[in-house]
Amino acid sequence: MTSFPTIASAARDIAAKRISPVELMKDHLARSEKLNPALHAFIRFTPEVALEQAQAAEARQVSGALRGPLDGIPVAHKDIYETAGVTTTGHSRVLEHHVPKADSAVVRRWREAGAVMLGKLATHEFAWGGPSFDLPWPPARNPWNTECFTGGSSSGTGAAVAAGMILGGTGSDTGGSIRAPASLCGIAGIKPSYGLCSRTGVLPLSQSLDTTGPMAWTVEDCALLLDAMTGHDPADPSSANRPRPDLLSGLNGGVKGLRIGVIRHFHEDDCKVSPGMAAGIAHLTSTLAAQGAEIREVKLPPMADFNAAGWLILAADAYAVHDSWMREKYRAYGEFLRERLALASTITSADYIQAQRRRRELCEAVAAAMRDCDLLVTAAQPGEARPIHQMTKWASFEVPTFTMPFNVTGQPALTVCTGFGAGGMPVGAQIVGRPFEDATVLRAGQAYELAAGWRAKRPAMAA
Amino acid sequence: MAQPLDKAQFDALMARAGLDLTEAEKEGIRAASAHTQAAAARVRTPREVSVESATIFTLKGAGA
Repeated sequence: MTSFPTIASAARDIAAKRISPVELMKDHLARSEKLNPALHAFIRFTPEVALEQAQAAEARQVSGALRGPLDGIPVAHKDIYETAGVTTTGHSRVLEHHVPKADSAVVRRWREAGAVMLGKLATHEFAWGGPSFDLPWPPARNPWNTECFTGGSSSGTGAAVAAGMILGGTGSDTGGSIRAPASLCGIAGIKPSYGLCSRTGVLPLSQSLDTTGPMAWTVEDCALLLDAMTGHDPADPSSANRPRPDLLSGLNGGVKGLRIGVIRHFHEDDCKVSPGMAAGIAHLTSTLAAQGAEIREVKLPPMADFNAAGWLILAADAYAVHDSWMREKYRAYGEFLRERLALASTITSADYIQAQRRRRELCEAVAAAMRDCDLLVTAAQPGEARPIHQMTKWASFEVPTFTMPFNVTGQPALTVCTGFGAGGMPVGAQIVGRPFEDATVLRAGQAYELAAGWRAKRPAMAA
Repeated sequence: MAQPLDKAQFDALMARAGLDLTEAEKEGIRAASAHTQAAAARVRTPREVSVESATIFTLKGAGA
């Protein structure tokens, strides 16, 4: 039986000198290299970087100079995060040979905290075009069933964390790209408040929606990773100039007295979810209620309204990012992304501004609803992971997503595993907080996760 | 569901974008334009002309 450390447990063992950062790195690199031919979670390993960083962590361990809970922890980065001297492609032929000179801000912060980079992870092309089979690297597969979709766009991070290849990794979330793979791969992932974490050095998709964030096996590990990501960055115009939040000291504070609003019409009327997802939401709310939270129902504008505004903004922003490359090297893109971007070119300036006006109205509507509750709960996905070959080019537009509403509003939103549904595939629900109340979101997720017990089960292929 | 863009409109937009597509590609994308047309209609809720966009920003002066 394979043992799967969490970041928290590995950090305790490193601090107590019970495990060696070099051995921990070698174990995870070997596991990753063994599983990757089936999962395609990594598109590039960086063993030299990993060895150098793990040896440095081990030297700090020996000398009693550890930098904190991430020192010596094996991680990897979604391949839209620029890494100094390491090719960063966006999983695209367009940037197949792009070697950045500097680390993105988040990569630098994790590196300075002592994290050990094993490599670069698969993503949907430039965080929007996938799952695609016509790119230089194949799409990541779901470790719970390799015939199934991981969710995206942080597909490699979802697969790698679930399979125990890494203890945590970076994701990015513009319309759900952290929370969707977290749900379908049965892990935890938080889209922090817009502006909480720097995006400097991350290949953009939609600057008015893009959010960087962590993904890990547990909520506690997400809190540890996020804690090392926050802080004002003057180089990022979206970065909030606020004090760094305390995400850790109240993590185990429980949910007694918290008012939690369930957006029932989202998953019962606006987009009916699978029985497994519905059971997961019910389990989440009943578990939190049993711990003293007050559960109530909340009504928001229709989910389709958030999706209409969000997808118009995302698509128009993305087209602006890719405009010149689209003219110069259209055929270098995969079919899914180039045709989605071609469609985006038909959005008018009036459509875009009306979407931004609707966005302001929707933000005000959610803020009003949250005057009487501290958190919201909704599904993270309509159901369990579907076969990867059933995913269609226009899926984003065909079915409203449960995640986009909180990109539109910028609120923090966490996916936590809420059990297993059809085919033994995991399901996850979202816990959503007020802007910059990420700590409350994590506290509720931690309370649920510890009570629920789902973290004992890993994908069979990883065991 | 909204109607997709008509062929003349769509061809003009692709030409303006500088995209050289096959006829089959054009038809696939044009059909999908029904989704963006529906979204564009949905964000046009009744509102006063003075309603602000979420892109409005606060000017920062020297020393901010």
